Amino acid sequence: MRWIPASVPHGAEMRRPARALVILVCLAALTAPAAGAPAASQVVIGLAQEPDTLGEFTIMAVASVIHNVLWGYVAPFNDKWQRQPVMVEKLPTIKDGDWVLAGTKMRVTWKLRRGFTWHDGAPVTALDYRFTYGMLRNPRVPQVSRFILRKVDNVLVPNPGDPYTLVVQWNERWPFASSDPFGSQIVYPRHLLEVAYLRDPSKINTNAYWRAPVANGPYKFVEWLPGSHLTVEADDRWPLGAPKVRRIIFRFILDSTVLLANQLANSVDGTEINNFGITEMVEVERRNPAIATYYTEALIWERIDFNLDDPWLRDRRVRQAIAYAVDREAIVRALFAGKQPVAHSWLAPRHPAYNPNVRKYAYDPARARALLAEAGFAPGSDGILRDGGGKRVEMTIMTTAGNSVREQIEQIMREQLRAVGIDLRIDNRPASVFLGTVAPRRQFPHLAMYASLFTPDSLSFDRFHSSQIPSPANNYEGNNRTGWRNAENDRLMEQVIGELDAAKRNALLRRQQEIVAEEVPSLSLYFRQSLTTMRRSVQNVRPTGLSAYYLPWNAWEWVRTDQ
Amino acid sequence: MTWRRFRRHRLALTGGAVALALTLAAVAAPILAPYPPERIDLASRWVPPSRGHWLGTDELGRDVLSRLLYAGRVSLAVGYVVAIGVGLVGAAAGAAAGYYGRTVDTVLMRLVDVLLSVPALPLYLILAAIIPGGGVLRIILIFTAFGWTGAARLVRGQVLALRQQDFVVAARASGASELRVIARHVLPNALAPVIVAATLAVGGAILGESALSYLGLGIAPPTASWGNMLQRAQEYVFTAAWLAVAPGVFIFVTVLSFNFLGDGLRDALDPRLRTTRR
Amino acid sequence: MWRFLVRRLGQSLVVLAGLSVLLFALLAATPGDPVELLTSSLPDVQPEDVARLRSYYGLDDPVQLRYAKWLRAVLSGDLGYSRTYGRPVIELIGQRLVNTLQLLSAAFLLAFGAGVAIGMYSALHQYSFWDYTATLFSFIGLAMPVFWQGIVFILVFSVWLPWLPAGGMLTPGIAPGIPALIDRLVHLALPTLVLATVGMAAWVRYSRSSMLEVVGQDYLRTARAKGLPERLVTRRHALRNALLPIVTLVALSVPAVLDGAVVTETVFSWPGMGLLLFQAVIGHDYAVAMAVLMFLALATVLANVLADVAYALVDPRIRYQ
Repeated sequence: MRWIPASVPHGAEMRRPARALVILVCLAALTAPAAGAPAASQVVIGLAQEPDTLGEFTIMAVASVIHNVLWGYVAPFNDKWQRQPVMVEKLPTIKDGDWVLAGTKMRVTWKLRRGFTWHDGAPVTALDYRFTYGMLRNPRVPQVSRFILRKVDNVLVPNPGDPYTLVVQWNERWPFASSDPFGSQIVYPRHLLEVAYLRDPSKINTNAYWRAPVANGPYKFVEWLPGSHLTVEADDRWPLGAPKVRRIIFRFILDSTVLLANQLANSVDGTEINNFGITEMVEVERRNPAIATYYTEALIWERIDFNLDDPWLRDRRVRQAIAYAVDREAIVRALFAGKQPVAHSWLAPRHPAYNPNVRKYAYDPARARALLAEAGFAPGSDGILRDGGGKRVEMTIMTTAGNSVREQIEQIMREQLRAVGIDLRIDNRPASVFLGTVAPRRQFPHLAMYASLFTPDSLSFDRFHSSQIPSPANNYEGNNRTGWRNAENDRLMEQVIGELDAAKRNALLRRQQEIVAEEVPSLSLYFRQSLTTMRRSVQNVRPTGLSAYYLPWNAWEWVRTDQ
Repeated sequence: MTWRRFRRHRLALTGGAVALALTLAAVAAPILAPYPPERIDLASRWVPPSRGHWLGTDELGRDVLSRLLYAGRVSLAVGYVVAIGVGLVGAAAGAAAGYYGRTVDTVLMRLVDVLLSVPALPLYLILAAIIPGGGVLRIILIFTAFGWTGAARLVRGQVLALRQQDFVVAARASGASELRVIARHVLPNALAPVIVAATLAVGGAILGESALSYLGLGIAPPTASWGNMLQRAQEYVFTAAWLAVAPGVFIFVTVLSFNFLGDGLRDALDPRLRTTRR
Repeated sequence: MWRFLVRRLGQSLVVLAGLSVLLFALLAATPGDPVELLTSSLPDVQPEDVARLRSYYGLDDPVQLRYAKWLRAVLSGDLGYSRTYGRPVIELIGQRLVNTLQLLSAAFLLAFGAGVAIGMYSALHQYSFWDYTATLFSFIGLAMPVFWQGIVFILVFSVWLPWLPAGGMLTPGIAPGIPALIDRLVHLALPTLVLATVGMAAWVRYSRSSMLEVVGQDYLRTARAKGLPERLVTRRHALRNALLPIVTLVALSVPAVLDGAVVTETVFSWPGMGLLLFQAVIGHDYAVAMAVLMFLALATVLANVLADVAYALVDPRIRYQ
C-alpha cells in the first residue's frame, strides 16, 4: 500500500490524494502550459471538536473557526488587534459625526461597502442587516444572548433607494458601538431565510440553512460529512481578492492524541483552538519539522476563584498567604517550559489596558506562614493548621475533570499548600457540570480553577462588580463568582462601562487591576497562549490569539508554496 | 475431589497465584514502593525507566512503580468489592426469584431482562454522570448496580432445580421457615455459580473502570487507579510511551489471572457448568 | 410455537417499556441541564435568557409530563430533534447507523470467521500446543482494555510504521469509486482489528467448548464405529452440530459488541452510533441519547427473541409451549 519510496524522509511524506493532485496538476501544466489559472492548492485543518451547527445558533467556539472563512466580517480584528473595516466603508466615530450622542441614547450610521455578494450571487445589502437584527431580537427565536441586542432600540434602513446605509439607534451608551452594528459581526441572507422565519420564528434554528449555509465570505460551503470533515471552496467574487488556497478542509478528530498522530503523519496541515497543549506543541516541533508551531499571546486568564463567603477566605491575609504559598513560576517553568507567563492580575500584557505595576506575590512560604499565623491559625499535631475555633484547615479545590494541566496544577498546589499547613482536597466535575453549574452558581466551597477568555472589548463589569454576584435571589445573574465586594472597584467598574474615551477607560481599568491584585479575590495563575500549528509551506499565516478570530481569519491571503 | 480437579487446571493455578501475588503486592505497597506515590518532583518529569526509577516517572516526576503499587490497592479493591457485591446481590435476587417464583420471579427477571437489553457502558456513563465526585465508591456502586444480573440468572436456575430436590422438600415439610430453608439448604448448594461469577466480576470491574476512566468518568485523580493512570498516559504516548505500558500490562495481567482462576473454578466446582456457554 | 412467539414478543414490549422509563428517569437525573451547558460559555447571558430558553426546550415541565410527551411523539413516529445538532434525530441516527454497521460487520466477519475456525481447530486438537496457544490468546483478547489496544495500534501502525491512518473515516476530497472504496477499507482497518480482537477471543472460547461437547457425544462415536473416516465424521456431524448453538449466540453477543463499539469509535473518531451516544450523554442531548439507547435495546431484544426461535428450530429437543 505504500507508494512513497522509503528513502523519502518522514516529514516530507505527502498524503496520497495530495500526491494524486500534484500529478494531475503537473499533467494539466504539460497539456496547457500557458494557462494562468492558480494551482489548485488545499489546506487541511484538524479540529478536536465538531460544531453542532453553523451560524447564529451554535454553542461551540469551534464553529467560529469555520465562520471565519464562510462569512465576511463587518470589521474583524487583525493580528495587531486593530479593527479593520471589511464589509463597511469605515468605522463610525464621534468625531466624524456618524456616531451621535443624544443624551443617554446614541445613533450610529454605517455605510456598507458595495460589491459583497452571497454565495448564490445576490448582493449583500442593509436589508440583510435589518433582517438579521429583527430575527435575533425576536423573543420567539431561541437566540442565546441578547446582552447587546437589548441595548439597541432599532435598526433602520432610512432610504429605500439606498440599501447600503444602515442606522442603529441605541437605548443607552455603549463604548463599542463602532465594533459592529448590533453586537454581531456576521449577517444572514434575508432572501433565503425570511420566508421560513416568518412562517415560524421559533423553528428558525432548526432550518437546514445552518447545516449548509449560503454565506458571504471568501470561501463557500461545499459539504459537511458529520463526524468526518467539512469542505469549503474559494469564492472568486470575494472583493478583497480571489483566495489562492482553493480549498480548505476541516477534519474533525475528537481525540487529541489521535489528532497529534495525524499531525505527525501529515494527514492534517494545521490545527486550531488549543487542541494541543505545550507538551504536544513540543512533540510536533521535535518530530515533524515541516510544521510550524505558533504561540500567540492571547487574553486567556487562568485563575482560581476564592469563594469569599467562606469565613477563612473572607480574610484577605489568608488569600494572600495562598498566593505566596504557590510557586507559580515553578509551575509555568515545569509545565509550559516557561512559554506561558505567570499572571498577576486579569488582563494580559497584550491588552492596551494592561498594568504591569500591580502587587506581585513571589513564592515565599515563610511569608505565607506568617500571614496565616497573623490571621489566627496555629499548626495542629499533624502539621495542618487549626483556626481560632480549633477547626482543621481543609479546603476543597474544584475544576474541570480530565483537564490534565489543571489536574497537575491541583496536585502541585496540594503539596505546596500542605507545606504551609493547608490540607487541600481535590473534587473535580465533568466540564459541563463544573462550568455549567458549579462555577456559575458558586457551588464551590473554597477554590475553583478555570479560565476566562477576554477580547480587547471586554470590560468585565459582570465579573467584578458587586451587583453581579450570582445567587438564587437574583436568579444567578452575573459572573462575580468570588462574591467580591469592594467599593472602589465598584465605582471604577461603573465608570468604565459608560466611558467612551478609550484612554480614560484604560486608565480606570489599570487602577482596577491594582485593586484586584491587592485584594486577591482570585488567584491569578498564568496567561494561556493560543497554540496553533500550520505547515511551513503555507505562508501569510498570522494567528491573532483572539477568540472568534481563529487561524483561518485571513485564509484568503494564504499562499501554499508546495502544491 | 473439587480441589483435585482444580489442581489439574494448570492455567487456573497460575492465575490464582498471580492474582494472589498482585494482591499481596498492593497490600504491601507502603513497604515495596521505593518512593511516596504522590511525591512530586518537577525537575524530573518523564524520566525513562532507569536505575533510580524502574518504570520511569510521570508528568509530575512521580515514580511510576510506586504509583502502580498504590493504584493496585484501588483497582483491586474496586474489583474485590464489586465481586462481593455482585455475588451477594446476585445470590439474593436469584434465590428469591427461584424460590418464591410467581410475582417475585417475574419482576426480578424482567428487571434482569431490562438491564441486559442495553449495552452496559452507556448505562455506566449515565450513572457516572448522576453520582457526583470521582470516588471509588461511585465506581463500586455502578458496577454492582448493573453487574448482579448474570449471577442472579445462574442462581435462579440452580435454585429452581434444587427446589424440587428431596432434601429441600423435606426441610420445608418439617416446618422450617422459608428464609431458613433458603439460607441453610438452597443457597449453599447454589454457591458454585456465584463464586465463579464473582471471580470473573473482579476482572470485569477492573476493565470497566479503565473504560470509564478513558471516557473521563472513572476514578478521579489524585487517587491513582490503573485505569486513570492508563488514561492519563495515553495523552503523553508520544512524549513518554512507557507510561502507557506499565498500567496496561498490570490491568491485563490481573484480568487475565482472574479469568483463568474463574474458569478453573467453574470447571472444578461444577463439571456440568463446563459445557455451558458463558 | 406461535403462542410462544406472541408471548415472547409481549414480554419484550414490557421490557422495552420498563427500560424507557428507567432511561428517561436516569437521564433526567443527570446534573447540569442543557440550557446551562448552552449558556455557560457566554458571559453576557441574563437570567431572563435562561428562563426563556428553558421554557423553549420544555425543561420546566415535570419529568412525568416530559416522558408522556416523549412517548406520544415516539409512538407517532417522531423521535424528536437533536438539541445540539439542530436536526431530526432520525436523520442523525440513519447516517451513523450505516457507519456503525460497516465497522461492526467488518469486525464481526473477521472475529467470527477467525474465532470459530481457531476454536474448532483447538477443540479437535485438544491439549495440543496450538490448543494452548489459542486458549491463551483468546484470554488475552478478553483481558486487554479496548482503548489501550487502540492506542497501541495507532502508535505502531500509524506513527512508527506509517501504514494506516490514525482515525477518521475517509480522506477528505478522495475521488469517488474505487479509490474511495480502498480509502474506506484502509480507514476501517485499525478499528476493525481492535474490535475484532475482543470478539474473536470470545468466539474461540465458545466454539471450542461447543465443539468439545459435541465431540464427546454418542452419535459421533456411532459414526466412527460405523467406520466413517475421521475427517468425514468431523465435517458432516461434529461441525454442524457444534455450530448450531454458536449461531444462536451471535444474537446474544449484540450488547457486548456495541459496548466495544462505543470505545473503539471514540478512540478512532469513527462517526458511528457509539460515538454519537457518548456525545449525546455527555452533552445532555436527551432526544438523541434516548433514541439511540432505545434503538440498541430494540435490536438486542429482537435478537434475543430470534435466538430463542432459532434455537427451537434447530434443536428438536426444545419445545416451547
